[in-house]
Amino acid sequence: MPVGGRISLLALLAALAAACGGGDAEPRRVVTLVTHSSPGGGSDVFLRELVPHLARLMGGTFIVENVQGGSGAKAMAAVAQAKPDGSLFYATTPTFIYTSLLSDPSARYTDLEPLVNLFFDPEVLYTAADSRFTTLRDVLDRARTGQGRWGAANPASLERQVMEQLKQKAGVSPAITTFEGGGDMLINVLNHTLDMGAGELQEIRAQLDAGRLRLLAVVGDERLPQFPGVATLKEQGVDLAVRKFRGLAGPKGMSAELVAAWEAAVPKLLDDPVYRKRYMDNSLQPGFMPHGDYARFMEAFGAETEAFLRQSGVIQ
Amino acid sequence: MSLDELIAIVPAAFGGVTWGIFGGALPGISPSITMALLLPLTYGMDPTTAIVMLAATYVGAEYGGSIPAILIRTPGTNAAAATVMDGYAMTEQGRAGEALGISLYSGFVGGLFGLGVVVLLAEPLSTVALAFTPPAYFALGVLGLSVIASLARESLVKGLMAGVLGLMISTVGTDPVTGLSRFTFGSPELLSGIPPILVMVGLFAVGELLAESGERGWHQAAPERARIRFPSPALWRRIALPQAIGSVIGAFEGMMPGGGGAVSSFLAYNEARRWSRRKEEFGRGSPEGIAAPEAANNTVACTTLVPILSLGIPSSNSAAVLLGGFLLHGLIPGPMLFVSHSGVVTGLFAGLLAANIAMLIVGYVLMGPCIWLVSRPRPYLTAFIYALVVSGVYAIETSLFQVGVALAFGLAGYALRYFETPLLPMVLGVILGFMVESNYRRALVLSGGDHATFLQDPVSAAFLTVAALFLVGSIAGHALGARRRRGAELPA
Amino acid sequence: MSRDLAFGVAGVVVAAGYYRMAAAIPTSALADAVGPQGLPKAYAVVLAALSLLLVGRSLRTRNADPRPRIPDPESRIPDPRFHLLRALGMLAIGVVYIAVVPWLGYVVALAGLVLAATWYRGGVFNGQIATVAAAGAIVFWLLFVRLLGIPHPPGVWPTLF
Repeated sequence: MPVGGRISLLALLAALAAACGGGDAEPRRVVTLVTHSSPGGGSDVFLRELVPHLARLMGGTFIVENVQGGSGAKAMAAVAQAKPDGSLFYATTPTFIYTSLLSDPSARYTDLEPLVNLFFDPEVLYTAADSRFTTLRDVLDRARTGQGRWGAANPASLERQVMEQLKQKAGVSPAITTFEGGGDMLINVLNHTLDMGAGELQEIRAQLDAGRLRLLAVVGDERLPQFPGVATLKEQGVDLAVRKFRGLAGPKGMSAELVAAWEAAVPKLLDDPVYRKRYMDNSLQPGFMPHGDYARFMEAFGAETEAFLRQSGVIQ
Repeated sequence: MSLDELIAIVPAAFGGVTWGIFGGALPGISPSITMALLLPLTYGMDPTTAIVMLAATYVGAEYGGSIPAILIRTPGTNAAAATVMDGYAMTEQGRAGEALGISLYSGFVGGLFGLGVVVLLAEPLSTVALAFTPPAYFALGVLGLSVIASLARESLVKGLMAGVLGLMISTVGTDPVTGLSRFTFGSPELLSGIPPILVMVGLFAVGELLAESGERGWHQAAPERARIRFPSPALWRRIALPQAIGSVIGAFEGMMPGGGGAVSSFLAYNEARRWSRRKEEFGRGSPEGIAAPEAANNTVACTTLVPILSLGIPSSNSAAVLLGGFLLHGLIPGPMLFVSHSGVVTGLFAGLLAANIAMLIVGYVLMGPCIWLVSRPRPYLTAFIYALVVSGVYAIETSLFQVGVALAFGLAGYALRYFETPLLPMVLGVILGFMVESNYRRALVLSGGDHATFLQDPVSAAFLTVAALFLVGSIAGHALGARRRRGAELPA
Repeated sequence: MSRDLAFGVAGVVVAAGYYRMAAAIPTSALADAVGPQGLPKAYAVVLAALSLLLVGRSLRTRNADPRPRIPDPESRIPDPRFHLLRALGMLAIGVVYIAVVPWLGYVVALAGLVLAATWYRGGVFNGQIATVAAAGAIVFWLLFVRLLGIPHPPGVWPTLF
């Protein structure tokens, strides 16, 4: 082997070592917000819009990390194993509860500690603007004849749960079918394949603004400020409300000071006029919950979901 | 549009296309991952530049995917799977440069056609997406599966077996109706199913590495390969029809949510073969077999904008990332976008034109280096394809588990080669299985279990008729071919 | 045993195993008429039928067809036993990579993979190969980790320094 070759080999090995040890130390406080959503997905967009405002109010550097895979299982595992020093949080959505219940991930939702809640995604029932159904009652009457067709965005999801429970509580027997996401289902509402769909307000906003959809009911405790004319399900005589949460969770064992800092910052954040305009445009509903409330809420949400999945035989 | 805006758009288009070709050419890194990786960089840009850059990435990635399909028999993207057959056959004949030229040129033609469709007809065509009900999607899937008959070469039975195995693989994951986990063994990694690209990279790339590992030695590839050629006038005329077929099929596929580039490339390949005057060359290095699918997938990259712009509904993963790009810049795509932000829409159209031209230029420049890379001595090539596979597959979900799955499919690919069974029917089964099953069951839920729904829906009825005619035709063809072979032996 | 016969038998075995797993999928109150088991079971039956057809055909033509088989372009595998061992060796390189990459890190493990695969395929081991492997691994690291930002495992190295 020529000498030149050996020297270049050594140089390469040196570079190799440098490449491996390339972890850079960051003196500033860095807070990583982990989401299971891909860049551009629902939770990702939510976090990226949140981050500059958090940095302004709380100081430090906030970054968003997409830990995809396993429908949230990987993100949960990453957060559960992290040090509870306030440097790593997980953006919670109902997905992490469903994944915990539907499969056997290495860390479940109960292995994380809910920190605070920020928002709710308003869930609505809607139909096409040119459909023959103008009210929820029309849709329910149709379903009473055994002809109704309802849609939910995903097979094992909060929307499915809403539709199944509505069917039970209203005592009607529609066919309920599921899709791969809100967009897929939206088409089937627009082309009148479905009488009614259940989904997030955000997903249907463009069609709603264009006057192609009609809201039938809000599946929450209160009416939406953007649509004061649309009554909740409870107001329409069906005792059903869900809250699709968006908040943060961290590893177990976070200190009281850490929790208190977030509990103080989030209400200020939600009142911030600039941010407020942004999240109202994105159809998010402010829903601050302090640590204690959030933990109890999560426990109840998990128990309710588990009961639903068990009762319907999705899990044994 | 002002000159300033134009000045910002052109570099964005070039940057996006280069990035896209690059990501598309790495097996495992799909167009949507390539776009998603770019997304954080676009936060600081103005909305038009950001959207143009993302859309240009998609355009570039669709061409990029054909580079490894042609050169190393490994599709870089789902939509390049159909290009593997004739592309790699041409490479083996020392015509790699020609094959890449045809792919690039056909992609350009398809892209321009798609752009024309989007600019002129976006609003009226948005109704196409609305015509697609669950029975129609089911029928589209069946039509796609009927292509297996023409991919099956000598043995229809073995081709169908591979197709059914592919359908079986597609059932892994969350059940589309009940949400039950099927064949996941409790693993969250399998909840969302096995991505088709894993199967393709495993069957083609890893399978090939295993199959050729019996040959030892340092023989080098033919140096003649490095000649880059654009189609000659005679070839232009020959590939015009397949390009037209690919463009039209791609234009429609792009508009339907869930259709996507892969289905359109296979259908385009199949139709191009059916209408070709040189059917026998297909699968053995036919330029038409590259022109049709590559025109189709680049048309899709443009017409996928129709449902996004006019309905606000993403029709594929890549479109979903684009939608995220819109949302991050405070734009809500949908019917109102043309009114509220018409500047962004015009800018996007101008950017796509620039992107298609950029693709031609960047693609041409990159061809030489790519061909040089694959003409290295065989052992190096083997080793670096292996490295590319383990690195690229990991990127899908940053998962070593999935690297393992790809290796397992490599073993399956090795077995299928041993049993002389074509690989593409399995790929097609994996790509279409979920669409077929979920929409079959959805349609039956909606019809109350009545199978007549598939004939009552006009779109579904039309697709199913075409699929049935095609299947009967090719089974008759196979039988006739077998009889003729037997007949030819008798005198001897 | 001819290859078609072997493939047919393998198909029947796969179909039977898959059918058993499909039949074990639990039922759900949310299920439709077809159900989560419906299509998987149908696929298994179709595969079994096709496999039996292949078995039957290969048994029938085994003696009747003395003409030499035309080699399929997809098939490049001449002598099965030796060849299978070689292929499994190649596969093992990838399996070892998966096993060691969390500890050795992306760059070192990938350099090892390239080195092993080049040697395995080329039958020669020298400084040039080692240099190319190391350089290649660094280029890949620049490409995937630095440029594309894909978090390939760094290994134990960052904790050592």
